[in-house]
Amino acid sequence: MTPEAWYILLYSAGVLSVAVGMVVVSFVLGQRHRERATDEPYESGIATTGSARLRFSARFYLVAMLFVIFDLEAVFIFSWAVALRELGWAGYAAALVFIGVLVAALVYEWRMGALDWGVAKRKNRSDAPSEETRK
Amino acid sequence: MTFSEILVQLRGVYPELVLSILICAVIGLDMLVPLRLSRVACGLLSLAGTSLALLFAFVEPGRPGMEALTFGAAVTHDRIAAFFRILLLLGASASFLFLLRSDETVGYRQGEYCALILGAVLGACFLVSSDNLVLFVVGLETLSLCSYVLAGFLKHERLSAEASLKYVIYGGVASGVMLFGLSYFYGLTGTLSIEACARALLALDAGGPSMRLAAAMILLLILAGVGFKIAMVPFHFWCPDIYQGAPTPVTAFLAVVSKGAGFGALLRLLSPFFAASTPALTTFDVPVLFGCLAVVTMTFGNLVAIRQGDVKRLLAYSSIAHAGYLLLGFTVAAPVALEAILFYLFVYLFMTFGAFWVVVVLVNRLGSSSIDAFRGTAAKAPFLFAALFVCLISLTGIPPTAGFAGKFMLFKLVVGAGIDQMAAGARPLAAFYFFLALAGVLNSAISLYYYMRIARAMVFDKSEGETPMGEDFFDRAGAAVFALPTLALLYFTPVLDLIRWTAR
Repeated sequence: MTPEAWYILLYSAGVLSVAVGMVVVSFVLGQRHRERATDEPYESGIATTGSARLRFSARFYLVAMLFVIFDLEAVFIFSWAVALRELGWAGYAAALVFIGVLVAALVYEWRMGALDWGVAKRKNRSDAPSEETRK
Repeated sequence: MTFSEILVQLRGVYPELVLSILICAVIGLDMLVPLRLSRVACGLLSLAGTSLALLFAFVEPGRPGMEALTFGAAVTHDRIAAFFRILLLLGASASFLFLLRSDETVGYRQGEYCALILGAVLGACFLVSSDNLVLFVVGLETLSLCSYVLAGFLKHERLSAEASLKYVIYGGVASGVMLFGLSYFYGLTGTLSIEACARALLALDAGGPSMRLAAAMILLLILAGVGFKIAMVPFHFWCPDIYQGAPTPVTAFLAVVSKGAGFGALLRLLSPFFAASTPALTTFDVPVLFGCLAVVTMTFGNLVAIRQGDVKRLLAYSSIAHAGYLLLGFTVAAPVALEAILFYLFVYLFMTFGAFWVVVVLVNRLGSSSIDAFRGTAAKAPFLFAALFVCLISLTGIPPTAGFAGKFMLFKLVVGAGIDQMAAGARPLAAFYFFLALAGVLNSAISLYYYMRIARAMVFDKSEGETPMGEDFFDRAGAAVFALPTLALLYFTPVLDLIRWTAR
């Protein structure tokens, strides 16, 4: 085996012994508690209420997803803003196209009712096929 | 970078540019028109736009020398890219004809459907014309993500939703495996250029035993990702469920455009291996590997197709088998092999779309795609049956159809390679090539049985009613558009010229 391989082996052994050592030593030397709150989930120190198995509205995920998408796209705009002067008018035009596409997507979402929270009031643009249109 | 430089760069990607604008336009149009007009309006706009993109792909097929100018040499303009762009855009235009005909998607937002198809084709076009692994992955993912949504387009139907979920899980794993291979590749070679890919793999191969192992691993991991797209055994498990569950127009799209893009990607990665000057890898022979995969893929597809009761599922296994036939072309490293593969892909587009077109029309009328439901339909819809029959014998590979010519070219190629090896004194390799040709012929014979099962059910089995089905003009015109080239493509020299030009 080459010397490099020995170094890597030694390093791996070191990493492994530190990781295992920390768990084992704290298990052997550490103190044990068995109180009322020991088995409860830790919620930033606040007493928990109810079950963790809640039902969320599917809308929640939709809005969350849309938020993440637009949030990510903001990252591109920030990076363009940092290099605004270097990129010049060509960069400005490119950013305009990019933002234009974003606006088109936003208008589409709005029109299609993806941003409506609560009662669905999409009339003509039915998402689920109604009985008349679907044979 | 100035405006004029950007405009010069965009000259290389006019078809893709048209598609991008079209995606925004079509969802904008969908907002303006009422729901009942949405299918016709969005479908026609997309059809017109895709035809325009096709026109651009035709008049500016390739601009050699522009590579360095387009997006930091990430997009290439070689002949393979030009050919596949034409093929994919042709497939996309046909998909919109399917949308206009099929009743399966009625009631859903058609603008979204069009935008998703256009997005998938946009990704596919960049995939086949990329010369950079990052663009390659982005193109592949754009194609895949749009396909996942399309497979689950009928989201209120169980089968469609199930198909989408299965597709996204299999697809995610396949992409992950491929990216893992690409990360090794980049880590070991430090290049992202696909042009340099084969050279770098060969350099790795020559760099000692551990590097040789790495080169083999990289090739296999990449093959897993691309093999998923073309539904090659053993990465085919998604195929039947997705083909059955997805709406029929989407199934046709996946069978032709998605698979075609997969083969484009495979050719792009492996095209250097098609040059005779490229030496073979030492760990395994790429041609022999592809030969084994081809035989396993076609045999599995054909044997399992025999017992299918659903036409869409049967066509899924048939498309697996056709991936096997196409892989035969990868066993020979020569320009003539490229010619055979491209011709077969072109024929495959027409005969598969033709078969699916008739299935779409019959599913509209019958509401089911099981072979039992198709009983006795030949007498009720004779024109459609004739078109389907032409496509089925072409899929089998019986003369005088173009499918025969395609298979003949592939088998001739393999036998020719066998004879060459024999002359060179490599007897085991020659025997291997002859075995490949024999396996191909035997598989075609098996496929005759299950394709004719559909025809038999339509002609000889009795159905309840005897009333004609009332094929309308659009039904017949669509069937003719796909079935006539299937009959006559062989005698149509511009296509052959295009393919020769590409393979030269």
